Amino acid sequence: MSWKYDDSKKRVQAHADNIGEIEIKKLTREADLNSLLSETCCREIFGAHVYFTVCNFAKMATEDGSDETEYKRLIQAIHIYQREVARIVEHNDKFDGVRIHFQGAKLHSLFYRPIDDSEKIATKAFFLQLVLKDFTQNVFNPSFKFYEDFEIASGADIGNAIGTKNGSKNDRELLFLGAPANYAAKIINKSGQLRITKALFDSLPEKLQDFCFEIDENIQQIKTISQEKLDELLVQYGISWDREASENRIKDDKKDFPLKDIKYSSADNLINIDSLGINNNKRVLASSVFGDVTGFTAYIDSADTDEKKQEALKVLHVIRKEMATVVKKDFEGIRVQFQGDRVQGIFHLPKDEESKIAEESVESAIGLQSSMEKTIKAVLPEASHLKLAVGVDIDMTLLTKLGTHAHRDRICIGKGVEDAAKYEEKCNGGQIGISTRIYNALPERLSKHFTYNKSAGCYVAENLTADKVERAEKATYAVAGSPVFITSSKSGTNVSVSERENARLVTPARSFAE
Amino acid sequence: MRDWLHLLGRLPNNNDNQKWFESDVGDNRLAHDRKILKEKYPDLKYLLNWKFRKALLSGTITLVEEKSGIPSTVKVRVIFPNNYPESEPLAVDGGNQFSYIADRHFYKTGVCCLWLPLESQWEKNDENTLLNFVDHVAIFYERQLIYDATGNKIWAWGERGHGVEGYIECLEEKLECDQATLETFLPLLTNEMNIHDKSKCLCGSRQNYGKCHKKKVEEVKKLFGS
Repeated sequence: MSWKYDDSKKRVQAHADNIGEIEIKKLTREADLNSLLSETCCREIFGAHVYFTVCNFAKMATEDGSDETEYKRLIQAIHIYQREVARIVEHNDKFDGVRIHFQGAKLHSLFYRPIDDSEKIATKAFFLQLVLKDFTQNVFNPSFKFYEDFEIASGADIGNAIGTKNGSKNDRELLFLGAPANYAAKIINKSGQLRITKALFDSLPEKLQDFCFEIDENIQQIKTISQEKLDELLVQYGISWDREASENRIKDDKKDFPLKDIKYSSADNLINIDSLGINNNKRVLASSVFGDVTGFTAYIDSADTDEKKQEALKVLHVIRKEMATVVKKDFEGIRVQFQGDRVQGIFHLPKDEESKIAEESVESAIGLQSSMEKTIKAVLPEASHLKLAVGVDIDMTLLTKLGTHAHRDRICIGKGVEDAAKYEEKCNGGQIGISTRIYNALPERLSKHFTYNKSAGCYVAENLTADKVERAEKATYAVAGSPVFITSSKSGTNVSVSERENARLVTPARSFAE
Repeated sequence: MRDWLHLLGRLPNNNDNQKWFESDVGDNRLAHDRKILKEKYPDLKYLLNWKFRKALLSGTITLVEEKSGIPSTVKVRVIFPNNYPESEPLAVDGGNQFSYIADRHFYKTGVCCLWLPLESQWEKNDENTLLNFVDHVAIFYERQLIYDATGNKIWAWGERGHGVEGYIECLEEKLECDQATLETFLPLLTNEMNIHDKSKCLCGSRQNYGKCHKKKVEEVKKLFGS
């Protein structure tokens, strides 16, 4: 499978032509965002975005494969954890928030009620982090005693973000674009810290600000608070959190999802991720690919008129669709999730063949860069300032679809997933970052384009598109005195080292310079 | 305009008042070239300036990769000498897409160094020589793109050393000898010395010159016009 310029350009043109008129209004009253938002019906939503993650899950999903019962227990734990966290976030007598989705083990949630009430919204974001920490350490971890202590981390920010949705059937996801949705995730530091941005800190009531301390001028950290003090503050701020009830729900879930019903297997054929669930999970050697549009948050945040916002949204939807198509159609991959302006793909075929999986995933990363640089910018000149950063890594990965009824998320958990995301975040626009393991598994024709980059902590290729790979390959055969075959067609002139019909045979002269 | 006029000033001038494309022969040649290029390089157009009586071929060459189909477009100008097709034209970069350095085989003016003059592929009597010339220009730009794709490491299909080195390399190759032997041949190449066919060859092979290097020396002398 491979990326083709003409196919990509046609698709991008079709995506651009078929997007309806985009409407962006400010959200002025409460609504079911899942029903309200669509690709063209977008809302500017003032709210707090909170990301909360359990850091150990990824490592466990990669390593705990030898003991079947242990692995089933891990699946059970992740499933029950996500169900309860979703309940805490969404239940209207608790936080009344929106569980946007889980990105692997990481929750992305939104608080926007009461509308435009920054103090109350910030207060919820503040307490959610403390409650989820308390839940994980004092309720969830004791329910799964055999696990080491779970390590948590979180980040939150507040402000305006544009809410939209992707438009694929049976695969609709809320997408949020803008600084708060982005920075909340970026400030997460995996060392057990609960972090908030200065904007969220400034929105908190003064009494709650006393429970924070400054990390730097833009980030504050929430102090460790005793359970008694947390309970006292929750009552004071009218947030209901019943530890015992949570424990009971986890006990019930354990009964409802017993280990004997949990099944997992490897996969010989391309996984249909939507067919997965608690009773049908996959554990596969897989290469994860994350592609992020660098500069998009600044682009959307600087859009100061409706027209500019509409233009930015159109650009996003075109890029998003093309990225998904490259992963699914041009290469044998699965588009797992859209995360704002980021796409996550996964490659697991041929089964357990590390070098072929690595090659396919890196070819897809090059395809993503080719679409961004060669076809998207040709069709949409307004996207000319945008770049794509891509991260790739490979490891044993758990693929499943978990969550509460009607709100099930495509879940990919594993060290390779985490590290691919990390490399993408470390890369600049136009770069592809790959792990040492991927680098070592690649054929020389691809690996020669990557050099180790100390600051990114991975091997990096700059501005690598499909034509550059082809030309570098051609160079291997382009020795002095060997002929070339030149063909002229509607699309241009091709200089080939292999014999072709109707080609003009030319032996290149040796170039010279005085 | 100024730079190509300047470049034209560097071209051999046979002081012929009639420009090559103003004669019947030249006009036919122009029509033939135009027809071929229209088919093979449709984005290169002739610019005929009747006021200054200059001819120029200007436009783009789109190089397409075979598998991905990604097009790369480069801007090119081909400047014709007054005695075209007796002398070869000049290809000049038209887009400042590449840095004009010797390692990229450009002169500072953007003129493409397609080949060592001794190895010119220009065949003045071949009616399709302009197409062949433009094919070489396309290959030259393909080389630029390969050079970029390999991280400035590979100049595809070989290159000559810069300046005198290039000439020495070429002569060594044509005479199939090393630099020391080449030096012994220099008086022969410049007609400062003659050697009998039955004398021992200067290369030290102990063979007769007539059966050893004579043919190669004659060929090189022809190239030099000596």
